[in-house]
Amino acid sequence: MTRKELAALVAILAWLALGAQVALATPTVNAVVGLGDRFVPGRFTPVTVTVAGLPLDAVSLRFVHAVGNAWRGQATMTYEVPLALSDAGTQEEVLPLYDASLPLRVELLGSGGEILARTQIELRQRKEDAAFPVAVGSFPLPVAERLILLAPEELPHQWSGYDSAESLWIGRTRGGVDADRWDALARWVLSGGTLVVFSGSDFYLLDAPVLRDLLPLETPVLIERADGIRALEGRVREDARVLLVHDDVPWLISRRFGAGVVLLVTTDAFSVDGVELAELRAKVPPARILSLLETTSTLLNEQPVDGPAPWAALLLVAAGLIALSAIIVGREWRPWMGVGLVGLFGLVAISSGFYANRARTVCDVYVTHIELQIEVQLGIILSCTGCFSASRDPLQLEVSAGHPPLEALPRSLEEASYDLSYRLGKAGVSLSPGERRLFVGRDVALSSLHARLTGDEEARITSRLPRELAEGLLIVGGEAFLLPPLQSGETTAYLGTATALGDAHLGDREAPLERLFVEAARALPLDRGVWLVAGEVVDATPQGDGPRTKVRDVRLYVVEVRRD
Amino acid sequence: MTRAYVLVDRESWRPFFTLVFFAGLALVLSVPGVRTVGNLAGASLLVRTPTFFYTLALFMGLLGLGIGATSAERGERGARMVRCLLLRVLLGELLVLPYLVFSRALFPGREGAFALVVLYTTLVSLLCAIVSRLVEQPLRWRSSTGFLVKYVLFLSYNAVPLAGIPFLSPLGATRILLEGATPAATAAAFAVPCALLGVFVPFALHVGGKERV
Repeated sequence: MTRKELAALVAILAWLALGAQVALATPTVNAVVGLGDRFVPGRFTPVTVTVAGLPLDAVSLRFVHAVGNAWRGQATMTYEVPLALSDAGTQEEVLPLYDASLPLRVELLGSGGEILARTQIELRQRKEDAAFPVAVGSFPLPVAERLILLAPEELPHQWSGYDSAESLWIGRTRGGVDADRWDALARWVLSGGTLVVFSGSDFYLLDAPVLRDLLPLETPVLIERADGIRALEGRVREDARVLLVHDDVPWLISRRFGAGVVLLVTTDAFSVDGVELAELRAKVPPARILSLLETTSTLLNEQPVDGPAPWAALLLVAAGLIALSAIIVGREWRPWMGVGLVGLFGLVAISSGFYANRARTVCDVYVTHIELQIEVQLGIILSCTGCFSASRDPLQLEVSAGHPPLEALPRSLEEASYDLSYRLGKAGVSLSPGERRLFVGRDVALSSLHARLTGDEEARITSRLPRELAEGLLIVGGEAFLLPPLQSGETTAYLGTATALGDAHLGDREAPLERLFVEAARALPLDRGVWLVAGEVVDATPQGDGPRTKVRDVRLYVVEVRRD
Repeated sequence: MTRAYVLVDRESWRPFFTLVFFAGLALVLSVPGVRTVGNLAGASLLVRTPTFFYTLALFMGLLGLGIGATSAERGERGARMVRCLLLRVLLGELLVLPYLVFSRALFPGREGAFALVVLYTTLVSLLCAIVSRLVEQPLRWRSSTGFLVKYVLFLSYNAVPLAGIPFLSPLGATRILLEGATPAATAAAFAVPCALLGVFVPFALHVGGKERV
């Protein structure tokens, strides 16, 4: 090699090394959208972001989602969340996605808001028109049409990430499902999801404490059926139903868990033939996630309006006209009339000021926030916030939400601005005069209430909430007992006369809490076991610089105390 | 010879009564007569617009026209005339004071704008009163012509600028003041009646002649 060639080689190597350094120092962002790369517009969708070459000043991730088109109208949803990467350099977020026509933009932001890296994810080819069945692990046959097959490690960690799933089937997995994902799955079932678990000889690969709580069998053991297939057997729980039996051994057992259903196939996925699979498919109901949209809309409609009464204004006008007539009409001018007018109208003005006080001031915005907290081993929060603008001008409003909320968007986006900007637990929206918006939220609940039956006629209830719950019921085997107001800390309740669950009311009939209770009772198996139901309605007018807002907060806690 | 000083009496109460009645009517119509949010969505358009303040601006102007005519009838002149007109305008504002206090509940947090509207309508009403007095004086022998001239001028002043330069009109200026206008817009809104008063008050003092006792 000549000296020139050697110099050229060194230069090339140096150039490559420099290029590698530059490439390594440049941060890159990638994202995977949906369940197995599929999502249904108008639902919560998991987005897993991977960041490489993370700069020190990276602080947050921003997702920019354009919705609509020239005909429908357009809106831009911006969600900014703090950067919290896992050890693997990934971050899972669950975002509401509404449309597939334009790509989702993912940006890594620096401390000054500057974009350090960005990527665009095409959504068009990932779109599904309706919820789809999801299968985890391996199966010898496709268990359903439009099936999306996932590895256990592709499952979302957050329960709201399963929103696009019609049902979730767990087959043969090599390493089972990890505890966090079992929690998320259990929460999803609690909210109304449908879980199908194949067990048999694969049961011990899947076995986990949460799965044991979900199963319709107690103390499961493996047995060998007459046909030589290994099946799971145990004591069928009281709230479970055997749907199909093979060789005198229950083969398909169903059980309600919260608002959802768990179906246990007592054999493994590879022991099932086509005929059995067809039988099984017919027994699997689609997921029906509890929705509070309709209840929120109704309660928002029924929220009382603040303001002075029209009769008071009429009285004021009448007082003014009478005072004026009494002093002036038909009289010659006298100086006392001036004093009389000043005195009388001053008095009427002062009375008017006393009447039209803060409590009778009209509000610009009315907000009804509904929260249903369900605790069955694990807890979930389903919430919905309805806003109505009574203002004469367009205004900006901030809606508190732990995660980016899903909005019930209208067909046409031309009528108003549907842009939403979510940042640090606040969703900023604009409201046009007379406009109504509804936002759905989902979260994880921490244990708040605990009850213990300490005798035939006594229960001790422990509340970790900072405030009193005015209304409460203890439901024992389908019979409801009225509870005293539940204080923070421990309350001892003496169980008096029982009422049948169907006749029980939480607070006044047609009142917000009662309506929410009816909604919960429709979805949850409150007639079985022991349940504690308590709630509160708080009306407030928070003080602040923004538009004058009247907030009605309706919270209902439904806690499973004991299972049959 | 002018009659003795009279603020308001049986011959001049009608403009005040009209103001109290119509401003009150607008106030009643502005109150949302519904009890729930669901009904609010379909509530009258008047509830969402500051009808009361527009009515106040309009009827304070009409009050000015009325008291200007009365002043001409009474033969009031000079500085005393201007003082009497101002006192009557202020009486009009006093009569609607209970409504203004009440309307605080309908337009919360806009007390500053209320004060500006009161000041503005006082100026406009005084302007209308002086112009009315000046128009009525030479045309008293043909009262229908005076009436016509006054009201055409008044309607033009209120309506015509709305088409292009709203702050020139009392209605447009009221809207600007209520919406929380910038200092420049507020100054522009006030400049019009102030400038016109600057022209007409000396003119009224001069043309009306010295006060006769």
